[in-house]
Amino acid sequence: MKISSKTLVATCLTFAATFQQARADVVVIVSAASTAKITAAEISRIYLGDSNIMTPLDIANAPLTRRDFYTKVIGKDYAQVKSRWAQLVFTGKGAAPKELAGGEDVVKAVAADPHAIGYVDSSFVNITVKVIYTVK
Amino acid sequence: MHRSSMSAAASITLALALCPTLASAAPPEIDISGFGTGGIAATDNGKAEFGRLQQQPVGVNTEGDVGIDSLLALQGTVHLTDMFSATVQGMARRLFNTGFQLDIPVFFVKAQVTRDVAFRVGRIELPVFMNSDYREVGYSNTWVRPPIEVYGQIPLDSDDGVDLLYRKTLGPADMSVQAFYGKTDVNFPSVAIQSRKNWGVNANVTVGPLTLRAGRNQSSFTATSAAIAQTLTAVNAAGFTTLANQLNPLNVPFKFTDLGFRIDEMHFTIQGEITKATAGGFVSSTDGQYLLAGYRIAKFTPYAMYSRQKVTSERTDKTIPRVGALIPLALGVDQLINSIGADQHTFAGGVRWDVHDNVDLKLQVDRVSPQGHGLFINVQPGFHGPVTVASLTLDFVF
Repeated sequence: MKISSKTLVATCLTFAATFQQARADVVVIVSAASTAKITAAEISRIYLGDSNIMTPLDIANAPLTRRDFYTKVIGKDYAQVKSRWAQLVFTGKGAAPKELAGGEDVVKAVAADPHAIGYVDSSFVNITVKVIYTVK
Repeated sequence: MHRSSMSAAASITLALALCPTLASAAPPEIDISGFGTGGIAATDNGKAEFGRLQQQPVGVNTEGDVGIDSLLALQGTVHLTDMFSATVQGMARRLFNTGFQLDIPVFFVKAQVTRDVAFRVGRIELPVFMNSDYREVGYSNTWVRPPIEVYGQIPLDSDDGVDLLYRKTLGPADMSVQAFYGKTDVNFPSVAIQSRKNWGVNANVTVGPLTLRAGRNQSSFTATSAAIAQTLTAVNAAGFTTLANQLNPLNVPFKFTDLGFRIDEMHFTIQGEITKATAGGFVSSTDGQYLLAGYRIAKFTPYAMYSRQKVTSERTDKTIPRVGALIPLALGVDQLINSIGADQHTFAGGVRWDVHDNVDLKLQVDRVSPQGHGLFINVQPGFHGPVTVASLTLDFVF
């Protein structure tokens, strides 16, 4: 088999780009001012509405980030999580996490509220927030 | 069902009074959401109808019907300030009458005093069963409908009054406690129920996938209907006044205890409740139990459920001698005693398919074994079980 060097370079670049994308971690963030110590199990309890120690935020325009977060951190299918939120909403006892548009919005909202917790692609993280958990 | 709209207006006035800054502040945030079910069900027995409650006027028989499970609800919450919010829910369903009707099962003003403590004033879901708060939200439940043997023990679903909600996270445990006080009025075409001095408490603890629940409530109720009045008048006329007073459901006590558990894991979903209802007047006291187990495989959750109700009070009256002309009267009294509550058990099997994020489709088959008329409605002579019920529902939230 004969492979031209041009094809090889192109293939390598494509592979590198794919690899880079796969490496972009999903991280869970709180305000840089927050002193809260939160474990992975607690993140799950907060997002399922069982624990009220923090106010969770959701993200609308990042389906892959969202899928990674719910399956790997919460350990549940997104449909299962939605079913839990419906229980909270229609009893009037609680609310579903507020859904913000994109990563910048989540970072901004988390930075402004020491009780807020959110998840974003690691590329959105800046000095105003701190990462408390990284999705492997 | 007739529910007063005055209390709704009063709640709005209260909400506005509590929030004098409303006019000057930025427009309040409003959340609109809703849920619904489109369903069809049919049984294999034309001599009785299967329903959600023994008191409801119509159920479903061999002809098949969409009215038993179909409903549509719309809910709005206005966030008046950081502390105060007002929520109203309108629901169209065929539960309390012969046709679809709009009622307001939820209408309250909520004060979130701290992150852990909240008070509500208005109409709240009567929180007596583990799934009471979302029993009508098909999407949030594994089953097609709550088992009548247990959830039929209390035919009321709301409480006009106040409640206190307390939540706390302690180490690995998430706890919630609710205490409520109020009253309920429900007018079915065949019977009017006035429940007064409703009070109760319930506590829930979740550790990992396991949730445990304990609840206790009691009230003083009055039930009036033409059939009750007719029997009691006849008993009085025959000179058995003490018996007539004993049978009369006039400000009589109702006590209810509920213990429940739930295990919700990635794959397994298991839940069960044990209940004990004690009622005054002619109304039967009953025990109820159910166990539901499901296993999620991707978007499908096959499940099985067993539920039963057992009457724990006397089923026959011994006061009236069964001789001569008194026999029909004695039989009439027994009929009244056995009209609410029954021995019945059901095996059900089904599958839930999560078609989309906010939509599921369920197919369920129930095999219902009643003792006598059991918990069936509009029973005709010659009826006997077991009865098979097949149901198909589409649930959604938005």
